[in-house]
Amino acid sequence: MVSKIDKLSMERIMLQVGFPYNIKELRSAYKYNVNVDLAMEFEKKIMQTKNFKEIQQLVVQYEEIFDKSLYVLHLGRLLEKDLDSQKRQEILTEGNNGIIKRQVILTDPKSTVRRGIVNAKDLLKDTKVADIGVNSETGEIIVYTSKEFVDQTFSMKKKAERTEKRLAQIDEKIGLDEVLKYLSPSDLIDICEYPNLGNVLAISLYKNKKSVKGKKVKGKNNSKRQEGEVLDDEILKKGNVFDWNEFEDTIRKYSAYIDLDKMLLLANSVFYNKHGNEFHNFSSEEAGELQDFTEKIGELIEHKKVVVSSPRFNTDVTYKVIFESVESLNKHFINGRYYEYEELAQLLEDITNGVVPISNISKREYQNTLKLNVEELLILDRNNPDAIQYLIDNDMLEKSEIEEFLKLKPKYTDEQASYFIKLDFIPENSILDLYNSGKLTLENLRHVKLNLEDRNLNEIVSVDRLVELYLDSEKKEEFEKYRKLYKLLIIDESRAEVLEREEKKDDKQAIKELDRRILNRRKAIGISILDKSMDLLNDDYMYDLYHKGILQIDTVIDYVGFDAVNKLFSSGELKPIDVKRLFNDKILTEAMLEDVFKKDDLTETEKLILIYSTFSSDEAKDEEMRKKLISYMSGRTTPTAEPTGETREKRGESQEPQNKNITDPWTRWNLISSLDKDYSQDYLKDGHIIFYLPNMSKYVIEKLYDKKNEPAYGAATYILDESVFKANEQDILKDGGINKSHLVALNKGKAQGVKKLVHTGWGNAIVKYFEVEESSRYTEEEKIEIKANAEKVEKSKKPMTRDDD
Amino acid sequence: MENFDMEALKEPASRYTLTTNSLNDFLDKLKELFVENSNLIMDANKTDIKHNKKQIKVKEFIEIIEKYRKKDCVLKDDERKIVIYRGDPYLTLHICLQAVTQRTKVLLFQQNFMLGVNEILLKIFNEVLEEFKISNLINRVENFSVQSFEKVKNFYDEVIIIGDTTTYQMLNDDNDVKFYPYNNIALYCNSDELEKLQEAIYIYANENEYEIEIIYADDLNEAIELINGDEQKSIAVLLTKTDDDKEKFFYEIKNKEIFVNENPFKKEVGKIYNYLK
Repeated sequence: MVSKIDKLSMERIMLQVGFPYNIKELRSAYKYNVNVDLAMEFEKKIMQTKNFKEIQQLVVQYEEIFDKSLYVLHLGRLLEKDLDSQKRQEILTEGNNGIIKRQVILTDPKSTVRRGIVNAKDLLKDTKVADIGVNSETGEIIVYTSKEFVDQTFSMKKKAERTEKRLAQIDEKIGLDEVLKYLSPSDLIDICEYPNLGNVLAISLYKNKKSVKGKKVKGKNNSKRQEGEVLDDEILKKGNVFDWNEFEDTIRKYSAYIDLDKMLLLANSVFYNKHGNEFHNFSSEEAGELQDFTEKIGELIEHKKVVVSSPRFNTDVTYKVIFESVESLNKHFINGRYYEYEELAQLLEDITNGVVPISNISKREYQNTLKLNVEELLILDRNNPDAIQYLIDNDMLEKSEIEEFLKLKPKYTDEQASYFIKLDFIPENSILDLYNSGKLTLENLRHVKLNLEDRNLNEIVSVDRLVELYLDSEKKEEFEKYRKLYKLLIIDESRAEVLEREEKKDDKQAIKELDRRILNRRKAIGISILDKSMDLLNDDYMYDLYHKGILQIDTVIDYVGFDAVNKLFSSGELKPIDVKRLFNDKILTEAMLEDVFKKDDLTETEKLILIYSTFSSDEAKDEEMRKKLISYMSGRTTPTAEPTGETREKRGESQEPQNKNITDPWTRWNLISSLDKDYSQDYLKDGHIIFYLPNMSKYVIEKLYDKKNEPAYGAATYILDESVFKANEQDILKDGGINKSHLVALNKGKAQGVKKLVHTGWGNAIVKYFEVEESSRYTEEEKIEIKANAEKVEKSKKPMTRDDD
Repeated sequence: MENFDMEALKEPASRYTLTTNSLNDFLDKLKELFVENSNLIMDANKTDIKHNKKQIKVKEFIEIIEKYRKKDCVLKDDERKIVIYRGDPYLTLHICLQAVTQRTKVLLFQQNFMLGVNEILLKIFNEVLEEFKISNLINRVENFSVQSFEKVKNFYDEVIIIGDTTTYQMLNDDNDVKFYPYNNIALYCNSDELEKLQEAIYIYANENEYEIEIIYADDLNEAIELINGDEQKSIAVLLTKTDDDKEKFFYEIKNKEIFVNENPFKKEVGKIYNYLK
């Protein structure tokens, strides 16, 4: 702010407050950082003249070397001395010939000493300047401020008391020496309320240098000061030494004249600027110390808006700037290492892409530096499904962030689904919507059902809704989706039943008892479904609901009678799993089987499929049954191919042995059918079989026989998502066979939902494709069985002669 | 996680590289070690034959090495690629040599095929690399699984599948994957007399882990349509007794190597591309 004095010329000022008799007094009014050459030039000229008028003109001419406020204050004090002398003269006047030795020449003839003092006080009203003298006896620096001059009631003593209290606070929180270790005497110019005082104190400290302690900070201190700017430049120049204790003592002694806020801020800034722009030179510990220091300084600074200007820095510094800079500096440290901005960006990318595990990052580092937005969280989640759980478990994400993330998250792993449901981030009442929108899959919910003990998902679905959708011909697709969920949650084995089966797996009687209980439970569910509508008591509906896994064959028998078994069995619609159970339970008798196998309602291949799907095990009982049933088949006298691939003989009239290298169709059939115990199948006249795996929503199309009814080998297997199959069913099925051109077209390019697997390494490929090893769908026994079936496929193509190579 | 050295997969290859001039020295050394260790290779092959039927010839390895003699070495900065294939050792050697000449860090993902030969081959190759101060350039994982792949894919810039359409089918939906064929055969036979030959070709392909699909079509037109519609097949084989069909097949099959009534495996090694370009 430009003061009133600054606007006045020296000529005008001299008119108001006069001019010193002793021209040496003019020196006291030099700017503390006067241009030395100019000052010397001025003094040289003054020495050459005795005429006050001319001297005054020189002062006007060299106005720039004067601190106008300081001039007024100094003259004001001289005027006070004159007034004092004047008062004393009035008393002693008689003995002194009335001659008063004045300090000030009043240039305005109309002015008086009193008038001059009033003018000086008026001019100094809004200024902050200190007149500095030295006690000639003690050498002590004497400071007289414009404030004291203008306001006689103002006492530096009171101010000193206050600053002493603040020094005590600094001592307590950080220690004054800890603050001063970042400063040097020349900084006094910038932190003293009166720069000229700071200058004098600094010169004094350098001049009085004694033994030097290690703590001093030297080096860049004055590097940015212009040469000649400082009066005693030689002393203040870079590299001069000072007594550390004396520095601290000086600060304490003159604390009333020091802006402690500026002192604290400057020390903080110097610490931050310790390595210049080479921030990577900070160690992680040092950056941490700086952060602590800055926080403490923040508590000690009274006026947060304080600004410090120092030649150390190109711009003015505020606490806000330093605080933010220090905070930003600390954000560069990850795991104790400094990362440049580009490296941080790379690290962020690596974390998001899952290259660097998120668990390498601490909560502080994540929140300060590497915080991800929701889009980045989604990428991270895609690349590392465990990452979000880590962030949540370590309290690194806000609830709102998690909710926003889940809104956009397109799909879940099984573990994630269980995790978010367990923590109620996915409330139970939103599960159905998420399932319908495809975000939660049946697999996800199966995992939840089998793993979350305290969650009962049964109420998500209802029998009313199931029946309502089933009877609405316009909602077939919606029903299909709902049916699968209903089956999973209500009909399939519960968590308790699965655990019990696992626990009692070696106790045949207990497993039998468990099966009986499960069957009864399912029958009860069937009755509750049929109770909902009379319309359902139609045979075709019941067969359909049986086919879809909603009704048990036992329930159908209860309502339709035993004719149902006959009808479904003879048309090949009775599920293999039920054929075997009903046969074991003597509901389906051998006579009934014989009857079906002697008739021509089913083709020979359909009959074979029925045989192998019902009596598929390697047990002697099954093998015997297979042989017996084959013998019922019309015109057949020799046993047909066996699924082991080791004893298979060519069917039909020819007895020529087949090459054993070719995979046996039955081993392939066996593997596919073991993938889903609720499977159903459809045999086409061109030798293809279509498997429907309802629990996986997949259709598998496999060529079993060629057009000569010989076992086919080497044809590719097609696996289709149920939705794709249904959408293309008309085109896939042509003239009672498979339209392969359409399957090839569907698979071409980046087709979704249609996969083509060639027979090279086929068994293992099937196991990998259906993720048998990782899936929670299978029990350990089932996994072993499937893998054994895959092994059989591979084994079936091995020539026996080379087994012992 | 199986047999992964996660750190090795994450870290870049060593900064050392071959120059076009030093490549010859490298190939000489490699050749020398292959010859010196031919017994070891053959022993490994004998063990492998208990599971797979492929018969390896050391001479073929030497011929492959010679093919790289006039290649230029390219300087690339930490390029990383995953190569998935069934595990044909000849292909393994080609990929390794391409990795060296193109300074590309490679992770070989193989099926369980010819594990012994591949292991000894990699051992020899890495030993020579070490002599030339090149380390961590080639890593190998047996028994490919999607789960293993998912865990490491982000350390690499590109995924290349050679010949393994099954894996390509599994990965292609969610990943940007490049596919190159390697003896991917479609075979159509319309002669009862030649069915034995069809079987023989099918068996040989299976023993050597070359993918083969027998085309069951009502007629030649349908077979041609099915073969042309399959972009992943590189070889089309027809077994026929009809001259008209031969001509039609030659004329109408597009973008495949064509074999009619002949063995498509005349050459030990399938057509090779620059996979790492």
